[in-house]
Parts: sequence; structure tokens; C-alpha cells
Amino acid sequence: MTGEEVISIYEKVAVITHQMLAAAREYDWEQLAALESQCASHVATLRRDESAVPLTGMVREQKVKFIRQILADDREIRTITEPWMEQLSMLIKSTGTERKLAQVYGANQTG
Amino acid sequence: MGISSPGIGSNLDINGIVSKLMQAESQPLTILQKKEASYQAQLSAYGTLSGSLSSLQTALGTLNNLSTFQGVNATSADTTIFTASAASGASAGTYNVNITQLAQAQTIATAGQSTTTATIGAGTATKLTFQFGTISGGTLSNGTYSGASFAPDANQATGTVTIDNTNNSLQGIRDAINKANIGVTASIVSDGSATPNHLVIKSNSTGATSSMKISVTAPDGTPGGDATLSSLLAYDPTATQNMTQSAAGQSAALTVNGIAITSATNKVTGAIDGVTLNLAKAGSSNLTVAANTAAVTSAVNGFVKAYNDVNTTIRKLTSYDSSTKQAGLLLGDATVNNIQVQLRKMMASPLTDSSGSLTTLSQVGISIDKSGVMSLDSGKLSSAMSNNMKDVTALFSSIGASTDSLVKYDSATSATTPGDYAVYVSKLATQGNVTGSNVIAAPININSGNKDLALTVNGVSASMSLVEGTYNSASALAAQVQSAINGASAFSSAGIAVSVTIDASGKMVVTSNKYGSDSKVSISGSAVSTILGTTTATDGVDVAGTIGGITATGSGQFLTGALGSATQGLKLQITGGLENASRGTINFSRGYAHLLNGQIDGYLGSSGLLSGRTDGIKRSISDIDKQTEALNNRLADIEARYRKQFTALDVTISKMNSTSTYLTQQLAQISSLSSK
Repeated sequence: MTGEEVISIYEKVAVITHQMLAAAREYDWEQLAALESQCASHVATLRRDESAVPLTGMVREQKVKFIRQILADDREIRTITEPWMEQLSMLIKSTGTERKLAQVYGANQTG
Repeated sequence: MGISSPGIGSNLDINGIVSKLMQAESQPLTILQKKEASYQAQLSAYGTLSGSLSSLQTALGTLNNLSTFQGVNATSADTTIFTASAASGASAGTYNVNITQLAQAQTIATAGQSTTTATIGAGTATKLTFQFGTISGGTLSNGTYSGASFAPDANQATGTVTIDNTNNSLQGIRDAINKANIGVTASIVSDGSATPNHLVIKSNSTGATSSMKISVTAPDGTPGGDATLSSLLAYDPTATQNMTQSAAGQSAALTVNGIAITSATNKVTGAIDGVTLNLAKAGSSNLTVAANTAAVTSAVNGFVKAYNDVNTTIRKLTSYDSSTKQAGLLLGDATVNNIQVQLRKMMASPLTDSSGSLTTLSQVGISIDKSGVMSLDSGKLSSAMSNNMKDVTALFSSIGASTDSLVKYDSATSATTPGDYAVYVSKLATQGNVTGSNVIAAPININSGNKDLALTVNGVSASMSLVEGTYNSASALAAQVQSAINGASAFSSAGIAVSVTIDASGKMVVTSNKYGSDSKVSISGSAVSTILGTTTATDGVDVAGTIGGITATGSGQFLTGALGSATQGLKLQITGGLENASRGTINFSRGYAHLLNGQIDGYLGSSGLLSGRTDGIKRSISDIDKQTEALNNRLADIEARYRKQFTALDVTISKMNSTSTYLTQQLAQISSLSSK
């Protein structure tokens, strides 16, 4: 593996992560998961091989640029998923909804 | 850089989360269920209303039934003297009944015997012949007649009993007589003397015509037989009486309003039309025959109660209870309000079709107050009934009045139109019969060779045997033939009976009691050649004619108005009179009970007002059920999708965590390298 190859993998991961952000914005969780699987296989290649490839300054800067891009997109994705998850945890804590639920499913209704 | 949300990318309680989510999605289900519950409640409210209207109809049924108004009570002032019963149509009035003598059966007793088992006589075969008739003239002293005469009764068969060496003890004679079933009952009575045992024979029928004559002869009827038996049992009221009378056969004697009446039995029918007197002892007491007003009052009370129950039900269903803050299930329901208004209006409107002089309910004490509650002034009803029961009947019930006494109104249906209709009878109904060719010459002997009969009457068959013996008149034989035929259980259980008569030329006629084309008699058996000879059968015919000028349907004596005409369902019984003749008019009128009943039919019938409402509600419920089902299916789909998404997302986020951790490490490495 060469430095160029390493960089091209980072570039692919960056592209895919950007697509993941687009999917998250669409609330298309299936697409998000599919893209993430592609992403993960590339990252697995990097984990396995990139430590053996010395990177020159130029290339290293490119790598930093891609990683920053990827992490930025990653954060963006989380800003979409987090509120949703928080809403869920609120629902979980809400006793009021439990009562409504009991009405719907005909469980013992207590006040 | 990590994710702070608890549980994300780790052990998320997916089921819990999904349930919460579903709650939001399933809101419409709650709404549907509430809707359905309210529809079901309305449906049961309509059910309650229908139930109370049905009860009102039941109460009206009693008032729409003529027999409710035709019941008659016969009341004896002193029931120890007599009791009475009356059939509907009995003439009302007060009658004085004076009983001077009760009917009783003749009882005779033998001389006392020391044992009941010792043989009597030599056991020579001996025939006892029992005849029944009237003892008259002469004198009676110590139970023995002298100078009396005996006239046999043509309507009672002679019976015979054979005594021989198998049964020649007091017990044996008793049992042989009872087994022969010839209209007497034998018993043994002990008087406590040295020879205590008397054979006592009692005629089964009360009345002067059922006194006994016992002849003791050889088996072939010639003089003879066992002499000891003869000295014990021979009993001829006009000659030798070896038995002593302890009670004379006599008829009841009484006067009704001074008119003398005799009756062979203590059950006196026909002295007063439609009334049966049961005599208990001599004495005088008044009998009151009056309309059974209590039955009418009770029927009217039942109607008032049922009417008020309907109102109470409607009020409960349509009002708002401020104390419980509960609204009635049918509050503001136009259908129910209409019913209440219509019923009240009908009760307040005068009758237009009544044939009587009464046209409003208030005339018989029924009123409705401002709040719609009906009440009965029973005093007013009583006086209306005593004034004119017929008018009270016409006010409530459907009633028909005929100008010809042999044209009787029977019934009508809801399809019959009130009005006056001319009746024309072209053919009277007849009964099927069989006539014999023999002119019967008494005496007639019936024995094992000529006692059997088999008949088919109105399509039902039965076999029977005549009682063996000598019949001294044609009418006695006819009476026996009739009782044998009518005693067959196949006939009595089917309500079939015949009359057996002797016509003017002395021939026997067997007639079915039914009228019409179904009335048919055929007869066979060993007795036929003796009692009838060659037989001729004639089938019955149905009555034919017109009501209101339109050909009516005849069945038996009943003429029924033609379908589709104003007289539809008007049923008349033509019991006699002229054929091919106009037979007066029938006036048919309707009362409140019928009108109200028809009105309620309009609510409860399959195409009625309430059915329309409930059918609509049932359709709505079935729509809701469909919607609910669709929603449930959708919810299930949504739930499955969320579950899948959650699982996938949970995995995705946890993998993203590992990626971002790696990349963050890479960045840290680079910056540590560049800082070196």
C-alpha cells in the first residue's frame, strides 16, 4: 500500500461520510446504515495497513484535512440523531404517556 | 467528541422506546374505541326502548282479545248448596236456585254372608243379566218394592256376568261384576253382625233411569242357573227382590226462578244458558251471573302500567340528570321524541272507527296528565262496564257485530278494514257421514262375532269394539256405537268425534262432528252388516259465499274475506240458516288496542322506525370495526418498521463511534508527530 492509496481511502471515507450526512438529514436510517457499513470496511483496511505506510508532509496534511472533514460530518450526523434520541428518552421518563398508553392498550387504568 | 445521549449505541431499551412511540401513533385508535362504545351504548338504549314497547304490545294484546271482555263469572251465594261455572256468553242476571232433591245412584245389597271366600252354590254356570231403567208406582218398604213397574232405559246397554265354579264366592262375584265393566260397581260391606258380609251393588249413573234389574238364568238365557246364586242375587223391582235397596236411584229436582228442572246428575247444564250448576245439598241459594269485570279492569291496569313504563324509559333515555351530571343515552334523539309524541297523540285522539257509543279513553276513566303519566279512575271504568260492556269492548278491541244470529263474527286480522259488509251465503257447510241401508229392528244382539269396527274419520283411522249384549232399541245401539267410536284414543287425541243417530226411516247414520271438505267418514268391521248393512258415504263441503260482495274463502263453517279486499282476514262462522240468500250485514270496528298495536308495529317491525335507527348504528359500528382493523394493521407495520430502524441505527451509531475514535486517534498521532 502506498501513501496515495491511503489518501484515496480517506477520500472515499470522507465522501461516504458526506453521503451519510445527507441520508441523516433525510431521516433515511437504512441508507445511513448501508453507507456506514461501506465506511467501516474502508476504515478496517486503514486500521490493518496504514500504520505500515509512512506518510510525507503533503500527504499527511491531506489526511488531516479528510479526517477533519469526516469528523465534522460525523458531528453533523449526531446533531440530527441526538435530539431524536433525547426525545425518546423524554418519552421513556414521561409517566403521563404511560397512562395514555394504558388507555390504548386497555391495561389497568390508575389515575 | 463522544456522544452524550444515554444508551445510544449501547444497550438501548428498544421495546420500551417503541411502545412510547406507538402511543403517539395510536391516538386515532382511542378515538375510534370511544366512538364505538358510544354507539354500543346507543344500541342498548334502543334495545331498552324496544323492550318496553314490546311489553306495551303484550298488554295491548289482552285488550285486543274479545275473550277478555266476554268472560262471565257465576257466583253462588252459598257454595255449600251449589257451586257454578259459566262459559262466555252466559246470560247475565240473578237466579234463585232451590234444590229439593239431589241426584243419587240406586244401591242394593245382598243378605249377609259369614265369609267372603266360602263357595256359594254348586258352581253351576250361571248368567247374571243387568238391565237399567226407571222404577215407578207401587210402594217402597224397608228397601223392597211392591206393586212397582220397571221401564228399561233405551240408552243403557244390558250387561252380563258369568258365575261358575271358578268364582262362586262373595269376593269372586264382586270381582267378576267389576271386571265386566257394565255400568255398576260391586263392593263388600261388613256390618259387624254374625253374618256380616253384604255384597253391595251400586249403579254407576245417578238418576231415576239408572235403577237396576238383575236376572239370574242359565248361560243361554233360559230359566235356570244355580239356585243359591239366584236366591242371593235375583232382583226384579216388579217381582222377586232377593236384594234390598239401601238408596233409590233418583234424579236431582230443583227450581230455577220457580221453573222446575230435573237432572239425572248433580251436574246440571242447560237450566241457565251457558251455566253449569254443581249441586251439593238440598236448599235454596242465589246465583249471580255477571260479566267478569275484574279481568277487564286488570287488563286495563296492565295497559296503563305498560304505557307509563314506556314513558319512564323514554324519559330516562332522553333527559339530563343534573344531580349525577349524566346525560341520557338518547338525549335529543328525534326518533325517540317522535315516538313519545305520537303515542300521546294517539291516546288523546277520539276513535273514528268504533261501533260503540264510546270514542275516547277518558270516557272509561283513563287520563294523561301534563307530564304524560297515564292513570285509571277504576270507578269510572266500573260504571262504564255496568252501563254497557259492549261499548267498552268496542273502545278497546276489534269487534264484529252481525245482524243474522246464525252468522257469527269470529276474528279479524290487522289487514281488515273497519266498515259494514253485506254477507251472502250460497252454500252452507255440511258434515261428512255414512248412512246404513238396514232398518234396525230391536232387540239387537252384539256378540264376539259382530262387535268389531274400524273407521277412518277426517283422515284418521282407529279400531274399536262394541260392548257385547242385547240392545233393546235402535237408539240404545246408536248410543253404544257412538261412545265406542268416540272412546278410541286415536280419535279423542286428534279432537275427532262422531255423532251416531237413527234417521226417520230407522237407519243408522254416523256423522263426523267436523264441517267442511275435510269431513269424511268410512267404516268397516264385523259389526257393519248388523248395525248398518250396505253403507253410503257422503263427504262434507265447505261454506261458500261473499262478504262485502267479494267471493270469500270457505273452510268448514268459516267464511274468510278475500286477500287484497277490504274484508281481508274477516272471519265469520255460518252455523246455519238459508242458502243462496242474503244474510244481513257484518259491522267490523276497531278499538284503541288495535290502533296502538299497529302503531308500535310501525316502530318495532323489521322496516320500522327503530329498526332503521338501530340498523344505521350497526352499520356505523361495523365501519368502525373495519377502520380499527386497518389502523391496527398499520400500527403493527409502523411498530415493526421502528423496531428495525432502531436496531439498525443502534448498530450504526456504535460503529460510527468506533470509526470516530480511530480517526481522532490518528489526528492525535499526527499532531504529536508534528509537535516533535
